[in-house]
Amino acid sequence: MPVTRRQFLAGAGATAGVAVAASATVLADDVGQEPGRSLLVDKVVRTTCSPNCTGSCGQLAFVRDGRIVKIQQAADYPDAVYSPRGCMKGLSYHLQVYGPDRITTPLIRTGERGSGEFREATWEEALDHVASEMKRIGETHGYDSIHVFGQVPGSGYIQKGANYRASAVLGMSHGTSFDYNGDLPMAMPITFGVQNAEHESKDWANAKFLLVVGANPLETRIPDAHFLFDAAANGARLVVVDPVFSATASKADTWIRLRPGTDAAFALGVANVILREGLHDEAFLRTYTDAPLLVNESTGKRLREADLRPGGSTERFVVWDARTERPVTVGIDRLGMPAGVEAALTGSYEVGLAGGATVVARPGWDHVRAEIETWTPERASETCGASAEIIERVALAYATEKPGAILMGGGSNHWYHGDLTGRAYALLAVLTGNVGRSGGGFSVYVGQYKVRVVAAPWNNVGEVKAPIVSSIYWLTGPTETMHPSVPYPKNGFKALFLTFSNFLLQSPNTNQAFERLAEMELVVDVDHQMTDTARWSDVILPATTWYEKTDLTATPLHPYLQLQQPAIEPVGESRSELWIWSELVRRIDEEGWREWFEGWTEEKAIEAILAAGDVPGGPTEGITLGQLREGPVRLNVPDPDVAFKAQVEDLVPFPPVSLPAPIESTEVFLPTRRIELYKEEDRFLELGEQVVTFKDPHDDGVHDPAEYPLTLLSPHSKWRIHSTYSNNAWLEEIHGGKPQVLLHPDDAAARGIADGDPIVVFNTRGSVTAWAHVHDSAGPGTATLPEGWWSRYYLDGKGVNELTSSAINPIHEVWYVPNIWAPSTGWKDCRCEVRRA
Amino acid sequence: MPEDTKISPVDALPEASREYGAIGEVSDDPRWGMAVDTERCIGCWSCAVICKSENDVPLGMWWNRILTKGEALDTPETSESGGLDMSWVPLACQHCDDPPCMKVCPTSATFVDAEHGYLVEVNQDDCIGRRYCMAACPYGVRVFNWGEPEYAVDGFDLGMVEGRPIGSVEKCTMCIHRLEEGQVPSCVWSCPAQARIFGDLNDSDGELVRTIEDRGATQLLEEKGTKPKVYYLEERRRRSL
Amino acid sequence: MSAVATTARAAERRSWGPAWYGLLVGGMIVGLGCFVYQWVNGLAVTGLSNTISWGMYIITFMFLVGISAGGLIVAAGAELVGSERFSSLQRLAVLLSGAAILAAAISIMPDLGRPQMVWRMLRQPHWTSPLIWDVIIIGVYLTIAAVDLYILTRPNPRPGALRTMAFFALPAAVLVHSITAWIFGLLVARPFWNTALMAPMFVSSALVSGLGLLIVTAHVVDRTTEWEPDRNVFDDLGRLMVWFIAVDGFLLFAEILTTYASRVPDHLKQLNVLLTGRLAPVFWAEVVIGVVVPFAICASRLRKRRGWVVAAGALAMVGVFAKRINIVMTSMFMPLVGLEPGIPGGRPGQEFAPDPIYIPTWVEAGILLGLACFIGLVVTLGVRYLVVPERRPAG
Repeated sequence: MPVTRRQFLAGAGATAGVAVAASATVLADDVGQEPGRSLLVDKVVRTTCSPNCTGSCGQLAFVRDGRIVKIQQAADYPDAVYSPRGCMKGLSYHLQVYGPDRITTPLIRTGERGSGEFREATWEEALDHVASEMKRIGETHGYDSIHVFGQVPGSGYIQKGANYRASAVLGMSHGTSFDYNGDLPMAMPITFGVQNAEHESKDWANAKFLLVVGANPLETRIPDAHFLFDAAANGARLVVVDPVFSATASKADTWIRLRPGTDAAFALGVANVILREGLHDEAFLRTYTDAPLLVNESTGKRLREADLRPGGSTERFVVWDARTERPVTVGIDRLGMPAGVEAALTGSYEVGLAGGATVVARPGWDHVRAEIETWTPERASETCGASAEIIERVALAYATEKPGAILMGGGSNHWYHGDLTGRAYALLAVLTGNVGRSGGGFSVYVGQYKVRVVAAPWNNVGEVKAPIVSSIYWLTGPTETMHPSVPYPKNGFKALFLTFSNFLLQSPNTNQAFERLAEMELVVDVDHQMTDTARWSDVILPATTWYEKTDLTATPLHPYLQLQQPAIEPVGESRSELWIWSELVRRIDEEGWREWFEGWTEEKAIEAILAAGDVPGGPTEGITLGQLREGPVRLNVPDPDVAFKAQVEDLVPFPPVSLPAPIESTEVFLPTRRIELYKEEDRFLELGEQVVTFKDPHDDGVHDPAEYPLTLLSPHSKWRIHSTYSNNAWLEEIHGGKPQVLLHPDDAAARGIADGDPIVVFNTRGSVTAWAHVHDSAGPGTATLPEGWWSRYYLDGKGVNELTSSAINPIHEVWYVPNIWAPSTGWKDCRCEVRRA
Repeated sequence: MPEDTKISPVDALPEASREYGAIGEVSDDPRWGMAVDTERCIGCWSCAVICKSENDVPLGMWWNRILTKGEALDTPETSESGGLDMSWVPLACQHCDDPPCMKVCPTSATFVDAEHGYLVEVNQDDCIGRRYCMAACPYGVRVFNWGEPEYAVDGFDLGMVEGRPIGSVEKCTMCIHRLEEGQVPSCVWSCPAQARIFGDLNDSDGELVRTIEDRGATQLLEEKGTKPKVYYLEERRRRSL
Repeated sequence: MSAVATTARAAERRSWGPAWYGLLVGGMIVGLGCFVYQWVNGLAVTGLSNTISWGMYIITFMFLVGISAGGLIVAAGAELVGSERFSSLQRLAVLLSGAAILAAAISIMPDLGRPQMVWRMLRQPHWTSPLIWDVIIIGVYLTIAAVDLYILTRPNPRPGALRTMAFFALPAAVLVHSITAWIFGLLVARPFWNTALMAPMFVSSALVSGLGLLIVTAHVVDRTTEWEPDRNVFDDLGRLMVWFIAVDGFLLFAEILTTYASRVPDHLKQLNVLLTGRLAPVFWAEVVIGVVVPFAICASRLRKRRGWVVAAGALAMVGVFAKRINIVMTSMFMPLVGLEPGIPGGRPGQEFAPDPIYIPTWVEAGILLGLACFIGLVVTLGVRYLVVPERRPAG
């Protein structure tokens, strides 16, 4: 026979052996190195990560061959308790710097708006085109018809300041961000006369009781969340109030499920118990608030010295001295009561007026007390859904476990009546004296709005400031109740100039925004990514990220001023906002450019800002650019940085200044220069909101609750900073990239919806199609769809803001100080219905 | 920049940052371990992302993941009393003292490195891709280079270590390349909730051992006898109203 | 048989011979091509992932080891007890064992991520790894099969040589499958595998499948060549099958009962995957097709009819293959740390999958086809040159 089995086997074996050996040498790819050798770098640059998240976290950019290969927290805060800060988004930002959606050249639209058809252009061409268009529009309709939008200044005082500066030079209308974002907690200017007054997050650790309402710090304040645990480790109790069992609720000692938009009722119920048990601080009320100041029963206005006698001051108010049983006047130059006076807090008194008449007057506090007394725990429970029992327990704990801090977030503030909600929670802090002390406070954490430096030398050109029109008026047009001092352009808005904002998708009432869009003759978008807004623009100008430019940042959450410093050359053709504005202004108004932009670098602007605040007691006292290059530098603020210290400790009248507004424009919010629980302005009286009360959610008054029984909540997701990071590849691997609508099993079952089903969420303003996530953690009667998803992730629809409302609360128009007293949008105040797709 | 003027990333760190990440004092024969405080873990995945960044881990692979103790990702579970509950468990290689993966590896590519704190390391040169270690690991922390790796950014290598060859297994190295330069692993550095402690399990006076003893800690799958060097601190009692 | 009939049969055989060989070689080429494709592109071309990191390759490996042990155990066992009953099948049994174990050894290669490094296993074997011991025992077993076949094909076999070999062959056969079982059985990470019954179960199912292979092949060779086994051997094989299936079924039942009664939640979850879950079709196939039906056939009077015995043998083999699938997949579906989002799949588009799936791809099918054709070729050649020429008296 030709071949035996053994020979065959032997042959096969030999062949295999040779093959293996040969391949081992030929194909031996031995890339795996010994463990322990790391790759080298060119340099490590310390900068700051600063999208609008209030983190303002120091980061290190590791650069190799001119590219960022890793980002990691700098963790170099002088007080180690702050380090490392940072989060998974900032750590993966280089994916956006180099990602597929990065815009690297100027783009000019060739197709229809929104078609995504653009052609590449040189900077020369793009700038010439934009400048000539802006000039044409400016000369035809007025430069104020150009609406310039930049997000909150704290995320970059220089580059965003360039927006203001250019607007000041050319007279363009600059928009607003803090109020347009819905983040302006109107309760604060109403009650305390300030834009906002949060304690820094480090102070949470000093509280003995933490009441977190409508806020989810575990997802929205990632670098600060650990201070809650520090507090718990020190024996503090953490109570979380939220319609949904959120991540933060999972860490709470007690979670209280509330019906959405009913916080004011809940807080009034708590106040009721505090009052009933006599746990309130009457001395605090007398000393710091308008509680004892008498109000004329027939007019609803406070009595003034001028009412009592001719020639009397309109800036002195009246209290009733229980000891002498006579009215006594008090001034506004100092808090407290005159020595020896026992100012009455309750009761009705007859006061003689100048001219002989008498009038019945009651202390402002008496009005508040009357309101509070109607809110028994049972009544509050019926409205808000929390049990009367738990309301009692919260009240007793908050009033006795001191200091107690209330942390409020967008979940409670983003309502048409968000100001009433805030006033109710502020009331609790005031009742218990938890104001102006470490571990206490009523702090509202939302955006990175805070101007913590004296930005005037950069934002303004000499004495001239940019005209500022709240961006809500771009969207809705002027309202009947719009404050007369709003510089609304006489010819309306004709152009939109956007910087670093997914404006069209992140405006409320998207379809209304698109109606406005159609009226724009020019839409320019300065951004680093091809967002949906960019796709709908006429010209896209590629911007540098904060790894490619210089800027100055701060945040309300911690007291450190930090630099952004470039780690790499700009990617592609991208340029900074400062450069872009300089080039545009030069083409439009060469003289203005020469005076105000020529020779200005970021460094020069920073030095000007630092110098302006480098005065005794100023925020940047003693801070130099050299120090900032090395790392974070502490602003000149108290340690810990808490609000109203001077008022509470030194009896300095309210309000403290809210930069950048001059004190004259904000002290008018508090005619009494005290914490005001009673508001005497006409509109408050007309609407019955002179003292805090509860009003049902509003939603434009458009949707019949029977037809649209669900409340649409659109919270901020931990995976994004609003819409930034929506397209991050690493994060998408984790969360799966599918927008989910959280529904309660009862609501889902009633509509035949199972977990994972595609569903349509709709109301009369618009609709989106996404996936249902059915779970007990949802609030009954709610649909929760986190905001910020780019359109392409939805099955249909542009985004969740197709449904949200752009209604303006006229209370927010009593005064107009942009970003400080201005219409604040109510995202969560929104009705909807859902059905299977 | 030419190769000979490049520097190590640790040398390039600013002083204050380098101090932050410095490993403290250790014993003569350190045994590297870690404690994770699940009371503080907020499920943000920052440690997982920095690990992916530091080690140039390709798309589809994660050395470190944050598991949700709940029904699904970031979804609570209903406890026996009817209440809702949720917490997070970060999971990466446990660097066991009695590692099942090491025992089954046919080529000793996985080994216990006595010179580096008794970490469980993989030498990819010796890995034949048998994936026995993956079947043997009770924690499921090993990932495999199934094909040509893909990355979120094309054109250049991210991260601080070289990539691994196709067909080899990889996993958390406890950032041994950083340990050699006296710096803590990246996950420990980057946790914004300050939930991780790294140190020497053989140093009874060190912060790691003292914290484990004071707070009390458990190990994952303790009953399997793998003796992990990663400890999970007990959560403190809650004080409900 | 008459000379005419023999020649006619031979002619008949030769006529489909080239086609048959062509098919086998073609299949092997396909397999080799798939292997090279996989080598170059990585195991990403299979349906495997980080959660289900072992699949058809290791299932096939187990199966091949199993069917190889069975044949040799029958031959060696018969030798040791001095039974002549199966002596006509000895060469075929040993040939089948040798071919199967050789294919099993080869089937390790496509399951390696870096096959070019396999020599490192020989250079630096890690003695605590059951895999190393498996490689050793497979080598020993292959040698024993080769030596046995050599002895059987000598014109004048030394008396007692086979008997001596049987002393080594039987324990080697038991060991080869036990060690293969211990690859799985010693892992604390897989509670479903981590049972003392693993080795006995592997041995018992090896006997069942090996015997099944012998039955089926004996019938095919009888029908297609001039070789024929002893007249009543199928009845004897069938009776043997009854015992083998009984033991195998008993061990399966014991395993299920113990797990079920333990009430340990993790164990119950794994059991339910088999009984009512994703693997239920395969599990019940294993039980019905692999245990109940062949047992019923072989325990009844149907055993007297060769056709039924052959059918039982084939069904038993299918059942054992199903068992291999169940063993591997049950544990792979349920990692011990079961919290979401689970284990990252390993490739873009396969990130985190709480319910991982495994669908073998054409590459895996191609390689398995190549292996099957390899065995076919070895067996065909072996039958042609080693089995058929055996001169036996008719009857």
